[in-house]
Amino acid sequence: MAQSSGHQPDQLPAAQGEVYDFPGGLPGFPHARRFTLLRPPELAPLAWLAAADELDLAFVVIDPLVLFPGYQPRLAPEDLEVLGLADQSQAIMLAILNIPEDPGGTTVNLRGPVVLNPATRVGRQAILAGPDYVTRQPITGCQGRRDTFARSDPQAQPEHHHR
Amino acid sequence: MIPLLVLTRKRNQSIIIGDDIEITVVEVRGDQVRLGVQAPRRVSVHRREVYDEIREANRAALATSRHALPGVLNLIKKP
Repeated sequence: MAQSSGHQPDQLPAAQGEVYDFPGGLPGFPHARRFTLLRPPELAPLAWLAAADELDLAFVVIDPLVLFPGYQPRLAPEDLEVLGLADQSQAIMLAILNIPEDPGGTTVNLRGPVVLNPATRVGRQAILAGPDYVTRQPITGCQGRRDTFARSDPQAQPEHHHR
Repeated sequence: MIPLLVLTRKRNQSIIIGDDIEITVVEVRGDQVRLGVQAPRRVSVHRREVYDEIREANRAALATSRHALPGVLNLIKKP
Protein backbone atom coordinates (compact mmCIF):
# COMPACT_ATOMS: atom_id res chain seq x y z
CA MET A 1 0.00 0.00 0.00
CA ALA A 2 1.45 3.32 -1.04
CA GLN A 3 2.34 5.49 1.97
CA SER A 4 3.11 9.10 1.41
CA SER A 5 3.63 9.96 5.06
CA GLY A 6 5.73 7.06 6.32
CA HIS A 7 3.48 5.79 9.09
CA GLN A 8 0.83 3.13 9.38
CA PRO A 9 -2.74 4.36 8.92
CA ASP A 10 -3.89 3.36 12.39
CA GLN A 11 -1.00 4.99 14.20
CA LEU A 12 -1.15 8.58 15.28
CA PRO A 13 0.79 8.12 18.51
CA ALA A 14 2.87 11.28 18.86
CA ALA A 15 -0.07 13.53 18.10
CA GLN A 16 -2.57 12.20 20.60
CA GLY A 17 -3.66 14.66 23.25
CA GLU A 18 -1.05 17.23 22.32
CA VAL A 19 -1.81 20.77 21.37
CA TYR A 20 -0.76 21.99 17.96
CA ASP A 21 -0.28 25.61 16.99
CA PHE A 22 -2.04 26.67 13.83
CA PRO A 23 -0.49 30.08 13.10
CA GLY A 24 -3.18 31.13 10.68
CA GLY A 25 -6.06 29.20 12.20
CA LEU A 26 -8.09 27.40 9.56
CA PRO A 27 -9.77 28.88 6.50
CA GLY A 28 -13.06 30.18 7.90
CA PHE A 29 -11.71 30.08 11.46
CA PRO A 30 -8.71 32.39 11.52
CA HIS A 31 -8.87 32.89 15.29
CA ALA A 32 -8.69 29.22 16.19
CA ARG A 33 -4.94 28.93 16.72
CA ARG A 34 -4.67 25.81 18.86
CA PHE A 35 -6.02 22.34 18.21
CA THR A 36 -5.78 19.02 20.02
CA LEU A 37 -5.96 15.63 18.34
CA LEU A 38 -8.15 13.27 20.35
CA ARG A 39 -8.26 9.57 19.57
CA PRO A 40 -10.85 7.66 21.61
CA PRO A 41 -10.08 3.98 20.88
CA GLU A 42 -13.69 3.16 20.08
CA LEU A 43 -13.63 5.69 17.24
CA ALA A 44 -10.53 4.42 15.43
CA PRO A 45 -9.67 5.05 12.64
CA LEU A 46 -11.66 8.26 13.14
CA ALA A 47 -10.41 10.95 15.49
CA TRP A 48 -11.35 14.43 16.65
CA LEU A 49 -9.41 17.58 15.90
CA ALA A 50 -10.74 19.91 18.57
CA ALA A 51 -10.04 23.60 19.07
CA ALA A 52 -8.33 24.06 22.43
CA ASP A 53 -9.95 27.39 23.16
CA GLU A 54 -13.40 27.08 21.70
CA LEU A 55 -16.17 24.67 22.64
CA ASP A 56 -18.00 22.98 19.80
CA LEU A 57 -15.29 23.74 17.26
CA ALA A 58 -14.19 20.23 16.44
CA PHE A 59 -13.76 18.20 13.30
CA VAL A 60 -13.92 14.47 12.71
CA VAL A 61 -10.73 13.49 10.93
CA ILE A 62 -9.12 10.41 9.46
CA ASP A 63 -5.81 9.47 7.94
CA PRO A 64 -6.84 9.72 4.27
CA LEU A 65 -4.67 6.74 3.35
CA VAL A 66 -7.08 4.51 5.25
CA LEU A 67 -9.74 5.30 2.66
CA PHE A 68 -7.64 6.25 -0.33
CA PRO A 69 -4.35 4.35 -0.48
CA GLY A 70 -3.45 6.16 -3.69
CA TYR A 71 -3.74 9.62 -2.15
CA GLN A 72 -0.48 11.40 -2.81
CA PRO A 73 -0.83 15.12 -2.25
CA ARG A 74 2.18 17.32 -2.77
CA LEU A 75 2.59 20.04 -0.19
CA ALA A 76 3.70 23.44 -1.40
CA PRO A 77 7.09 24.75 -0.23
CA GLU A 78 5.39 27.43 1.85
CA ASP A 79 3.40 24.79 3.72
CA LEU A 80 6.56 22.83 4.47
CA GLU A 81 8.26 25.98 5.68
CA VAL A 82 5.47 27.06 8.03
CA LEU A 83 5.32 23.56 9.44
CA GLY A 84 9.08 23.33 9.82
CA LEU A 85 9.25 20.21 7.69
CA ALA A 86 12.26 19.19 5.67
CA ASP A 87 9.97 17.00 3.63
CA GLN A 88 6.43 15.79 4.02
CA SER A 89 7.31 12.22 4.94
CA GLN A 90 7.58 13.36 8.56
CA ALA A 91 4.15 14.94 8.55
CA ILE A 92 0.94 13.55 9.92
CA MET A 93 -1.79 14.11 7.42
CA LEU A 94 -5.47 14.19 8.26
CA ALA A 95 -8.57 14.73 6.21
CA ILE A 96 -11.69 16.38 7.60
CA LEU A 97 -14.93 14.45 7.22
CA ASN A 98 -18.33 15.90 6.54
CA ILE A 99 -20.89 13.46 7.98
CA PRO A 100 -24.58 14.03 7.28
CA GLU A 101 -27.41 12.22 9.08
CA ASP A 102 -27.16 9.44 6.52
CA PRO A 103 -23.61 8.13 6.99
CA GLY A 104 -23.56 6.87 3.42
CA GLY A 105 -23.37 10.48 2.31
CA THR A 106 -20.14 11.13 4.17
CA THR A 107 -17.50 13.01 2.23
CA VAL A 108 -13.84 13.68 2.90
CA ASN A 109 -11.94 16.87 2.13
CA LEU A 110 -8.93 15.74 0.13
CA ARG A 111 -8.18 19.16 -1.24
CA GLY A 112 -7.58 20.75 2.13
CA PRO A 113 -5.69 18.23 4.25
CA VAL A 114 -4.73 19.16 7.78
CA VAL A 115 -1.01 18.60 8.17
CA LEU A 116 0.69 18.25 11.56
CA ASN A 117 4.38 18.27 12.35
CA PRO A 118 4.80 16.39 15.64
CA ALA A 119 8.38 17.65 15.98
CA THR A 120 7.44 21.33 16.04
CA ARG A 121 3.82 20.97 17.21
CA VAL A 122 2.75 23.14 14.32
CA GLY A 123 -0.28 22.42 12.18
CA ARG A 124 -1.76 23.90 9.07
CA GLN A 125 -4.55 23.21 6.66
CA ALA A 126 -2.86 22.97 3.29
CA ILE A 127 -4.79 23.96 0.20
CA LEU A 128 -3.67 21.82 -2.70
CA ALA A 129 -3.17 23.48 -6.04
CA GLY A 130 -4.30 21.76 -9.18
CA PRO A 131 -7.38 19.74 -10.01
CA ASP A 132 -6.38 16.37 -8.64
CA TYR A 133 -8.40 16.33 -5.44
CA VAL A 134 -11.82 17.53 -4.36
CA THR A 135 -13.16 18.95 -1.12
CA ARG A 136 -16.05 16.51 -0.97
CA GLN A 137 -14.85 13.05 -1.93
CA PRO A 138 -17.49 10.44 -1.13
CA ILE A 139 -16.30 7.59 1.05
CA THR A 140 -18.69 5.05 -0.39
CA GLY A 141 -17.39 2.95 -3.23
CA CYS A 142 -13.77 3.42 -2.28
CA GLN A 143 -13.06 0.27 -0.30
CA GLY A 144 -9.85 -1.43 -1.30
CA ARG A 145 -9.31 0.15 -4.67
CA ARG A 146 -7.49 3.14 -6.01
CA ASP A 147 -9.88 5.83 -7.06
CA THR A 148 -9.61 8.19 -9.89
CA PHE A 149 -10.35 11.60 -8.48
CA ALA A 150 -12.75 13.99 -10.06
CA ARG A 151 -11.59 17.33 -11.31
CA SER A 152 -12.98 20.04 -9.12
CA ASP A 153 -11.72 22.98 -11.10
CA PRO A 154 -10.38 22.35 -14.57
CA GLN A 155 -9.01 25.88 -14.72
CA ALA A 156 -6.96 25.59 -11.55
CA GLN A 157 -3.75 24.52 -13.20
CA PRO A 158 -0.70 25.63 -11.26
CA GLU A 159 1.23 28.08 -13.36
CA HIS A 160 4.62 29.45 -12.51
CA HIS A 161 5.69 28.87 -8.98
CA HIS A 162 8.98 30.57 -8.43
CA ARG A 163 8.69 31.11 -4.66
CA MET B 1 -17.31 45.88 5.88
CA ILE B 2 -13.77 46.65 4.82
CA PRO B 3 -13.88 49.10 1.93
CA LEU B 4 -12.41 47.96 -1.36
CA LEU B 5 -9.33 49.90 -2.42
CA VAL B 6 -9.31 50.17 -6.19
CA LEU B 7 -6.06 50.96 -7.97
CA THR B 8 -5.46 51.12 -11.69
CA ARG B 9 -2.28 49.52 -12.96
CA LYS B 10 -0.74 48.90 -16.34
CA ARG B 11 1.24 45.87 -17.36
CA ASN B 12 4.44 45.52 -15.31
CA GLN B 13 3.18 47.88 -12.65
CA SER B 14 2.63 46.61 -9.16
CA ILE B 15 1.11 47.31 -5.79
CA ILE B 16 2.68 46.62 -2.44
CA ILE B 17 0.77 45.43 0.60
CA GLY B 18 2.36 46.04 3.97
CA ASP B 19 6.11 45.81 3.72
CA ASP B 20 6.62 42.55 1.98
CA ILE B 21 3.77 41.56 -0.28
CA GLU B 22 3.91 42.72 -3.86
CA ILE B 23 1.45 42.04 -6.64
CA THR B 24 2.52 42.75 -10.21
CA VAL B 25 0.42 42.85 -13.35
CA VAL B 26 2.39 40.48 -15.55
CA GLU B 27 0.16 40.44 -18.58
CA VAL B 28 -3.22 41.68 -19.72
CA ARG B 29 -4.93 39.74 -22.45
CA GLY B 30 -8.52 40.59 -23.21
CA ASP B 31 -10.40 40.30 -19.94
CA GLN B 32 -7.79 38.04 -18.41
CA VAL B 33 -5.11 39.43 -16.13
CA ARG B 34 -2.04 37.50 -15.08
CA LEU B 35 -0.84 38.51 -11.65
CA GLY B 36 2.51 37.79 -10.11
CA VAL B 37 2.67 37.61 -6.34
CA GLN B 38 5.78 38.01 -4.25
CA ALA B 39 5.27 37.30 -0.58
CA PRO B 40 7.05 35.60 2.30
CA ARG B 41 6.53 31.85 2.27
CA ARG B 42 4.48 31.96 5.46
CA VAL B 43 1.81 34.00 3.71
CA SER B 44 -0.52 31.72 1.79
CA VAL B 45 -1.76 32.85 -1.58
CA HIS B 46 -4.69 31.23 -3.30
CA ARG B 47 -7.31 31.90 -5.92
CA ARG B 48 -10.30 33.25 -4.08
CA GLU B 49 -12.71 30.57 -5.18
CA VAL B 50 -10.38 27.79 -4.06
CA TYR B 51 -9.96 29.37 -0.64
CA ASP B 52 -13.73 29.82 -0.37
CA GLU B 53 -14.27 26.18 -1.22
CA ILE B 54 -12.04 25.03 1.62
CA ARG B 55 -13.64 27.50 4.00
CA GLU B 56 -17.14 26.33 3.12
CA ALA B 57 -16.11 22.69 3.42
CA ASN B 58 -14.78 23.41 6.92
CA ARG B 59 -17.97 25.15 7.93
CA ALA B 60 -20.10 22.32 6.58
CA ALA B 61 -17.96 19.78 8.40
CA LEU B 62 -18.90 21.38 11.72
CA ALA B 63 -22.47 20.23 11.20
CA THR B 64 -21.21 16.66 11.29
CA SER B 65 -23.77 14.37 12.83
CA ARG B 66 -22.44 12.57 15.88
CA HIS B 67 -25.32 10.09 15.68
CA ALA B 68 -24.03 8.97 12.32
CA LEU B 69 -20.51 8.21 13.57
CA PRO B 70 -21.14 4.50 14.26
CA GLY B 71 -22.64 4.19 10.80
CA VAL B 72 -19.56 5.78 9.25
CA LEU B 73 -17.31 3.37 11.13
CA ASN B 74 -19.31 0.46 9.77
CA LEU B 75 -18.85 1.73 6.25
CA ILE B 76 -15.13 2.25 6.71
CA LYS B 77 -14.52 -1.14 8.25
CA LYS B 78 -16.47 -3.16 5.74
CA PRO B 79 -14.05 -5.59 4.03
